[in-house]
Amino acid sequence: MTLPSATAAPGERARARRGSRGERTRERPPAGTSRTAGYFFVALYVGLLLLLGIVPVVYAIYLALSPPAANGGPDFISTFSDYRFVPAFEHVVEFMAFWLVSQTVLVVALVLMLHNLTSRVGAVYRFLFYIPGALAGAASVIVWLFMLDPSASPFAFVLHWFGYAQFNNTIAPANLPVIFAIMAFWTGAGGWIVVMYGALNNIPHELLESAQMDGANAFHTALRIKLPLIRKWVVYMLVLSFAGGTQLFVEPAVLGTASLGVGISKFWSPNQLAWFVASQYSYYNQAAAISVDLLVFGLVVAAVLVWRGRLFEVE
Amino acid sequence: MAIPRRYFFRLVVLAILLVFTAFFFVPIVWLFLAPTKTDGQLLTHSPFAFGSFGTVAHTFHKIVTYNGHSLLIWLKNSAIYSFGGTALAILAAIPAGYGLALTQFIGRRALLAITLVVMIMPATALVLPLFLEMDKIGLYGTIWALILPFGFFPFGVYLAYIYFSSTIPKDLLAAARIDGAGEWRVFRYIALPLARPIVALVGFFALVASWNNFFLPFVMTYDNSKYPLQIGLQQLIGSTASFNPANYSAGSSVVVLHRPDLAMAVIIAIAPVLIVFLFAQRALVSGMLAGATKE
Amino acid sequence: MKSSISRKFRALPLGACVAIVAVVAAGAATGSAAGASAASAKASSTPLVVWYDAARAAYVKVYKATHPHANVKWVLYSGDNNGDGTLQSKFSLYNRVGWKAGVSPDVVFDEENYEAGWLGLPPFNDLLDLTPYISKSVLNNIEGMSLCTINGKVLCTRNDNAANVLWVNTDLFAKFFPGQQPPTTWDQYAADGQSLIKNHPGYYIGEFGQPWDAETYLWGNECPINQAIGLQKLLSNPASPNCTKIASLIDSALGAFTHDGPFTTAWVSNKTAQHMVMDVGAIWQGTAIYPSGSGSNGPGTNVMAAYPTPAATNGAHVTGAIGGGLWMVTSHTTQPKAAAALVAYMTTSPKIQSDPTVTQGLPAYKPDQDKWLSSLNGVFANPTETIATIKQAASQIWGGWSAVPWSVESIFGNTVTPGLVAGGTFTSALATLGGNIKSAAQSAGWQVVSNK
Repeated sequence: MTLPSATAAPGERARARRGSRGERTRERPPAGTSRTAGYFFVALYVGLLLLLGIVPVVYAIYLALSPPAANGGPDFISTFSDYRFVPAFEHVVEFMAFWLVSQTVLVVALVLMLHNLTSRVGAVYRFLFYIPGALAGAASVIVWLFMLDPSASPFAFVLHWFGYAQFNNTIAPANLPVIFAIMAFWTGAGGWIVVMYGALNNIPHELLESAQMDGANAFHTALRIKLPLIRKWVVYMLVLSFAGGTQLFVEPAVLGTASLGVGISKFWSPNQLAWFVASQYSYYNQAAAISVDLLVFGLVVAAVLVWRGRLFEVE
Repeated sequence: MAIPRRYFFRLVVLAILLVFTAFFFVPIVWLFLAPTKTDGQLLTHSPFAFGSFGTVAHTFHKIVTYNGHSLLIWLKNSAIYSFGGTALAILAAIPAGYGLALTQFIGRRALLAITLVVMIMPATALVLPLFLEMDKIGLYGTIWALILPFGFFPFGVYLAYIYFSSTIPKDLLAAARIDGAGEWRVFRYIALPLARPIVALVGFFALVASWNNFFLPFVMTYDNSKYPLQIGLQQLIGSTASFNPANYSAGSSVVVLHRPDLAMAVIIAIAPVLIVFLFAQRALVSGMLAGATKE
Repeated sequence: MKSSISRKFRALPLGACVAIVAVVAAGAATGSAAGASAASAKASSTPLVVWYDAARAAYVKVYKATHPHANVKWVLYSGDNNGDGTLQSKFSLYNRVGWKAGVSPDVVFDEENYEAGWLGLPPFNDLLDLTPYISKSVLNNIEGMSLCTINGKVLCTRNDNAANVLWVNTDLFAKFFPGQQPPTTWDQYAADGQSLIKNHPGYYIGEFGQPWDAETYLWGNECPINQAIGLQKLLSNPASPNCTKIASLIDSALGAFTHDGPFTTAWVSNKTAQHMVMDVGAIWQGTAIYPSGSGSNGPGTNVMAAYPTPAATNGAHVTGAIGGGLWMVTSHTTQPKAAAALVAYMTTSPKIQSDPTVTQGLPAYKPDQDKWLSSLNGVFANPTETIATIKQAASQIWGGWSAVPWSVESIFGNTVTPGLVAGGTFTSALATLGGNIKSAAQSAGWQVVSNK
């Protein structure tokens, strides 16, 4: 059993804790299984992995650490003191804090609420929540350009309530991390709700019925029984969202262009900064350095989440 | 008399759900209503007002023919890159997932671990080294500079791995092997027929990811006529009067885009993915959890 | 018999002989010219690649009509609007992977007015010096070339002259300031603003809080905040009185400036254009912003008149500029002559520049200006004075605002505008602007000084 199951018994999970990656021993395949056939099955994938995964990473690290040519920009240490570096990372960290917390809380809350409804009604809600996922990047930003404009938005009353008289007020620099978090939530939440709903459906009915007979109401059932059983999926969502969030590029780039650059520079996020120094000054070493920083940042946090969440049990 | 706690709780839940429904769905409604109005109507009428079918036809014609049917060219490019990349992703990920799950070879565990790590890696951060690498091996400017990266889909490999390790009974494989069936036959006649849900699942995720990808095509396309829709949309913003003041200095004989035209372009750009979404929701759920239901 | 024929020949009048010779010679000349142009059209089988923006589509039409045999590949792109970075990204990619004739651009129209200072200097060095290809008399007749002449080289031409003038709503001005003339000094301008705040709140003397505020208010006051004084050497002194005086004057009347930006939804739905008593703006803004009609909700151009911008706080009669566009030839072109000829055509041809249906801005090329200006008859109020003002302003653009590898407009918009929109003062913004220009300059490898 490898899927982070909602119903892994406590004993199984305890046994799973052994080993550096929680590996469990499993029976060997029967004798006669060819050991070389496996290589053929993974060959194409491994080729792509080398070409598009390993080599770029190695090349990036090499570029990042090698000293640049004259007029080639700052060396690795100096990239950290670039006046745009710290603000860019601050922006992305703020964005991810808002986004990950709100996505986790809201997705879990919404899916637990939906799970209580009849499947027909729940299906309608899930469908409506899930449609924005079809828009991503430039398309969703264009839609949100109008949603954030108090003169044109169907949510104008909300914006006015915040005191925003015009578009430039809404996209004030302090609001930007929240705005991008809202956009990311809008496109991403629906898909995760669908996935978590499926996970909730896996909970055996007996478990829920016995809880009900014990006197637990819907609220208690949701909190004490359902929630712990989808914990692994929540961690999974956090890990994947984190990886994607560090790479924020399209949304600030397109919003910046369409808003005439008011309050959003071309180097608002680290990914943008990397591209900026590469394309404006040809400082490829600096760009690679920033990319490697993002990589390490993403990997470290993801590794922590994976380890603490005991997520990926490898057989 | 106070409302019984149970009903109060239900009302609160309903209110919250309605608020979020509005949050998720109102922008979509707005988007589809926008091309029915003219630019002036868009700003002065209610966001939910319906303009006219005539306006829709006019807007559609205007945006589709703009600049020599650029939108259609971009649509074609997106289709080539995305479907090509998705086909490659399926071709690579399905056998790889099977191999990782149900065969044994040295380095299997290491490959799985590497796959998990690579899944977490920020892909956009690698675009620049990828560009330099593609340039070095001479693929830059060809469609392979996009199709190959789109076909590299570790997430798909992991999904296939989970799927195969949980849907195919080990005894069936053991029996087939004892009977003398070669590995290829086992894969072809036992695993593949059961693989339809996972092929659909991996295909769905790969298609959506490649269709919506911006940064990679931004760096990898040389010629404006090779842009996919995501880049094209960004270029259209520059041709839209309200987002680019320079268009106001255009002579009166120039066709300039306005907000409803841009909205129409967005609808056309998302239409293929939207259609896939509409049909994929059920398959998504069933494919995703086919593994979990088999204990 | 022979003698009679020969006598007839001898009788041919001398004039006729000359005529025959002339016709034959002319025919030969035409034939060779036609042959030459046909040869050149045929010889250039690689197309000339021209990148243009949406607003230049009419130019393309005219060119195609007047050059039916030209082999040109026209490519629409975003125009690099608001410095979206398209050109820089593409050029640095091409520099890396190589420029390909027939694919990478030979000619580019750029909306980002600082770009020649970026693309023409290291590390790009991608612009062709046009001096050998376009005659000096033509180049000297183009206004606004301070953004194109860099280190003695002419790296682009200007498309239109976007000098700033003071647009005045003559109806509103007569109503609110009876018996007065529009302000000729910035002090008077600020005083008018204070009067509006007191007596007619909700009406404005200008817009403020836009990315181009520096070009509107600082350029026209000779503020030395972005002046290149040598190879990679920048003079930037935000503390100069040429900068601080105008900032404090504007701050004294902040309530008389609108934060609504032209072309935004707020501008249209608030009918802001109808509340502008006056506004410092570019020449092209007259017909772009003030027409009545649902697209702009303006008061109608017939009440608008152009006056000179107030004299600079140091007394100089200069003005700034907002826009104008650049025509550039890339240094990697394989057809420099043809490319430069196309650029020259776009910049100078009256079919393009003098025709208001093709171009809505005053031509940067002086000989084309009168014809374009005559089309303004019947458009604005006080037509003779308006036209004269426009022509004069066009020649008064201050040359101390330089094309550099960063966009002042971008920096202002990114870092200064948000503070202004939130109610901040111009004086406090000056220091921020200066600091950010300095950072941008230094990270581009420039040296920044505050005194010459």
